[in-house]
Amino acid sequence: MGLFNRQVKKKTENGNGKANGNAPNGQDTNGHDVPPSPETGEGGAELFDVKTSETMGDRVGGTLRDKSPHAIKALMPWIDKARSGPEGRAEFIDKTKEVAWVQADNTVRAISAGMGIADTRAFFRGDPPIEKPNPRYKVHVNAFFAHLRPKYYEKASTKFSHTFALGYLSIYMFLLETITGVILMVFYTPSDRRAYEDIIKIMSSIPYGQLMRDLHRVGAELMVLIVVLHMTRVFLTGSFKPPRSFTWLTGVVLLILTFALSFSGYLLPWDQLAYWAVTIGTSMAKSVPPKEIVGYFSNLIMRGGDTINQNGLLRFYLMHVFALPAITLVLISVHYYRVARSHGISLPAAEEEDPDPAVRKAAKERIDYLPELFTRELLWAAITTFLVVVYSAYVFHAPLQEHSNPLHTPLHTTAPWYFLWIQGLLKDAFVLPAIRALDQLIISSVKYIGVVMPPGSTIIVPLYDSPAWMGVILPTMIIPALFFGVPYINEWWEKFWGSKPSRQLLKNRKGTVVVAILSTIFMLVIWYQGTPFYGVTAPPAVEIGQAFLPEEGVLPPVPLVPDDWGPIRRLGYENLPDGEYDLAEYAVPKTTYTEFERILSAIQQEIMRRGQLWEEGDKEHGLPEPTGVFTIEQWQQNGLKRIELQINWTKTTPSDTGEFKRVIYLQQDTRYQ
Amino acid sequence: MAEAQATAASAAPAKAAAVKPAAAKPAAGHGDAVNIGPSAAELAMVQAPMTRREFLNYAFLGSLGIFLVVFGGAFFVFALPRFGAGEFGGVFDLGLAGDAIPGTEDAPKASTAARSWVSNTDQGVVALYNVCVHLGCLYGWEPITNRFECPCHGSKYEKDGTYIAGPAPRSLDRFVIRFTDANGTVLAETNAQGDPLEIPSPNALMIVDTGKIIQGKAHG
Amino acid sequence: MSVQFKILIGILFTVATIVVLVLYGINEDNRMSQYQKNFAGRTIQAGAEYYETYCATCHGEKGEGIVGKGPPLNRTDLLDLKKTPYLKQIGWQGTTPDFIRNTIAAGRPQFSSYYAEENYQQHMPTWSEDFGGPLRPDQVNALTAFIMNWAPGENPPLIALVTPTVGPTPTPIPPEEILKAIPFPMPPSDQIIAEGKDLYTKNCQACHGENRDGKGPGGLGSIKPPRDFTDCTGMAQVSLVLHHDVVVNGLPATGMPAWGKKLSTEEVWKVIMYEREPCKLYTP
Repeated sequence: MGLFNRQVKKKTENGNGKANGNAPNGQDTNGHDVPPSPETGEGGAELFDVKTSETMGDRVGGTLRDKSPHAIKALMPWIDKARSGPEGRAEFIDKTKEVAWVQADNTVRAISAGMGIADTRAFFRGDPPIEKPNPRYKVHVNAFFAHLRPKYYEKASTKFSHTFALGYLSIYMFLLETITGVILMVFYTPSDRRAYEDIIKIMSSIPYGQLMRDLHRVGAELMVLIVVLHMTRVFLTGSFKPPRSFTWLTGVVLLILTFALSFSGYLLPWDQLAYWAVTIGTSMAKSVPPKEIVGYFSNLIMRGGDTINQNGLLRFYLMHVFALPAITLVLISVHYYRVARSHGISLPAAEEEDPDPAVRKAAKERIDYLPELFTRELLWAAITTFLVVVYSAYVFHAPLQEHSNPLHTPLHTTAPWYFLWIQGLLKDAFVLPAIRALDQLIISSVKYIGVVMPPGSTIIVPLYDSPAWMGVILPTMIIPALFFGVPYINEWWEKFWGSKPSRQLLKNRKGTVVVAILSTIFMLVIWYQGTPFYGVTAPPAVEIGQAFLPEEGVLPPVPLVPDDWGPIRRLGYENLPDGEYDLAEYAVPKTTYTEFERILSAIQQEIMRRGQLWEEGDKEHGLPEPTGVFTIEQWQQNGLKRIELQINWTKTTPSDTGEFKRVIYLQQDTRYQ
Repeated sequence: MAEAQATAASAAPAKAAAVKPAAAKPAAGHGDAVNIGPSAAELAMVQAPMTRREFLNYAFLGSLGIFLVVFGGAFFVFALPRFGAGEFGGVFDLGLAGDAIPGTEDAPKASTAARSWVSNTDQGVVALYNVCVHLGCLYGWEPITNRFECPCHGSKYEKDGTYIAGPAPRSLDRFVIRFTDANGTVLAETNAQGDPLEIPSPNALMIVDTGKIIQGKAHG
Repeated sequence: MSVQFKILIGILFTVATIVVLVLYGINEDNRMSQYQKNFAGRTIQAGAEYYETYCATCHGEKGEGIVGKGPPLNRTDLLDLKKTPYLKQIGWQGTTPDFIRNTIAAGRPQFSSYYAEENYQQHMPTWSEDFGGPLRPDQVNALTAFIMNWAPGENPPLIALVTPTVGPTPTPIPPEEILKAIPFPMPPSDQIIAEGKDLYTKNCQACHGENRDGKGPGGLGSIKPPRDFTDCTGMAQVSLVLHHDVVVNGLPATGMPAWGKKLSTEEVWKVIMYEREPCKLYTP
């Protein structure tokens, strides 16, 4: 109003008429409530008397008219008519409705970024658009988020059985991670003194805190899984082929970024699991050649010290919440821009390459993003959200071990499941023997051409047998290079053989099928080698202790399965009767055993198995004449029990203690489900 | 978008045919129209001499690039951790040799501050860096098997740090040990190969220099 | 699948998600208290492990104390949250867990005389990494939780409660015997006073002051200020026998140590003579 008044005053000062100071006020206060009354000469409506426009011009000048809202200006000529009689009034009302419609329609167009009232309804009703050209396309021009999406897709490319919506779900997971991550940041401090405490606080004192953490964790694991599956799908449908080569390239970078995002978040809970998994991870960087320069410094820069400490935690935190998400967002934009603007989602190969032009044409039929595909995407989001929430709320809880202890590495520390293949490469048991054999073959064959190698010499083994190769060069250079190069190698391959570029897997790409099967087997084998079941043997008694009373929760080598704290802890305080149990008495399994006695029996079975192995000559895994005692003692009256497993055997060497003890304490309120 | 796609798809067979004669030239960008060889105008532009403006533009870009490299260097120096005195990387006095060193039959002794295992064998004393040379886990002494074992990937080492089994690429790293008398005169010091050191006298002071790491021998 | 069916399914899943979130929210209070108890339990378990590693060798594996090493911890006068005579006596203002955490973290710079701790011969070392020890703050907290879990609460303590008089107490000697044992003729010669002064400077001056006025820097902040030997009215209350007893056995709950172990009988008497010199109170 102030502005309005000022304008009027300005006009008055300019001497543009003998403006009635009341006039604007009269209009403002009375508005439409007061019917126009020419008698008083001060009625608000009189202002808009167009017929006597000179009068009005005298009063307030043309500026008021010019600067009135569009709708009111449009009504001005009809106001005077309304004063003339009932017909005029009816006309005025009609005109008012018309103006109101235009006003409302414009408002809706502004909100919907292009669609009027009728088209908005048509949109929701599922009717075809009313205006021409299609106003839904206008939305794609005007609205930011809609402009990111294509106006339409080709029908065959939207088939679920073709894409499994994996690309869309990857973005969904990225958003889920961003949202839950920002929420978790509210209570998290990246400090070695507070981080663990804050996680405990989030889990124990913040409503929905545990759910947020679980959602973040489930989302992270699913994101890795979905991105890998997405890539597999693109490989199998041949969608990496031109013109999508560069898109595949950005996709490989995104895969690595997904790993990096997930792994950098691993350290933040600051528990034993986090600390040692990341110690292993950063140690791998240590052997990037030339290790005295690149390896040494990259490890140092990442850790912020010679071991992981406060500096390292802060660096990983900053990478996790800022640097990596920012880079990922940029890469996602590039990746998606190519899909949305440059070449679209690939069509199913069989339809695209069908000899029948009718089939090819049908495959390319347009299907609008708004509203069909938009609805479909919302449906996917709703279903995924439901599944993820239910899984996080009732099935899977993110593991949390003891507070990190830089002075003790727990037995069988493993990398996260998606890095087990690198661990497998590092443990290496089948490639290296093969290469050794090959080496021997070369050495023995060069003898025939007169070259005699000194005994014990090697030719190709040193090129391969080092953590630099197994842990770094292979996973960070060669395997990615193969991945990056897939489209280009493929192009070269096709040119080499002069074969027609085709994307049909079973029909024209039999070599690809073989490669896919072989690399899957290779990945599965080295993944298995990466698990603690393979190759990491502590002394046998320690292994028995680890199986039943592990130091920390044991993470299964697969995603989305909770960690396991062993049968004794799972059984719980209440079900552990005090006493000293000679395990030999539980040698024969009985059906009448309680759950506790069944576990005792299982321990005894394991001990006896080790004894048998020894007798069979397996000195690595067997124990000579082992016996076991299991003791449960009430340690504090306020609900604390001490549980001790002692295994004895015949000493074999002077240093052999012949005894192993594993002690855990169990408090009555702790739960390990 | 869809137009481009349609062009790409329909052009695919045509392209394959068109590319073959011009084998010397790599195929043009995917989805673009295929042209064979540069036009006369293109050739003229490519072969035109460098103008002053062009040179300045390249120089401008180059200077920006150098700036980025220098800035990256500044960040590197900024982020590189520094090691203060008295922290790991310095010299640790473990006390009298008689107290600090276990007997040849005893289990090695751990020193948390110096991050090392002091291990005594018939050959002499070694101070082993307590981090596994494989992937940085902390290995431990396993009395049952009388050797060092790493809990992460199962590397095994003898009492003097020699590699036995597992994925580790070499034997354990050693620190330089010095024995001095009360006046600080050095009585004995680990040699460049890091061989075990004889104890000169139980009353000598044992000093571990964590700044000098001698890498273990690689195994073949 | 028609669009309408898709929309219907979408609504169903969205509503189901809302229901799950609400149900989950209703149970949150319950879940959080469960988790708090769970974590408190895990803290006690961790504390038990650290106790076994670091504390049991001196304080006994069940907190029963080991004579000659460390006093018992599992005792009601220390741990009972309501009546903590021990903490009252030493004038601790904070809570019992605070006291325990503080003692573990910072150790004991001197023997506390409440519990005849001088019989345990070893100072409590500093354990927190803040004070040069090996333990992180969370470990100190876990140890505190474990020790506090001995607090009686609903259950009686595991071991028989020990009264604060445990430890070898000297058999009382009749006053005449004590006076008879003075190894030099009374009143003391200047030679004796001079020797006493030497001993005083070495052992007592830090708290009782250079001028024997009880204003030494070591005594500042004591609950009970050190004795002012120049205050003759006050000193008149202190008989020779009492003076001897305080020097030999110390004063519980003050900073006054028991000197009987460190000084010989003759030295004790020489110090006493020097201390009584300002008021010349040599008669029994």
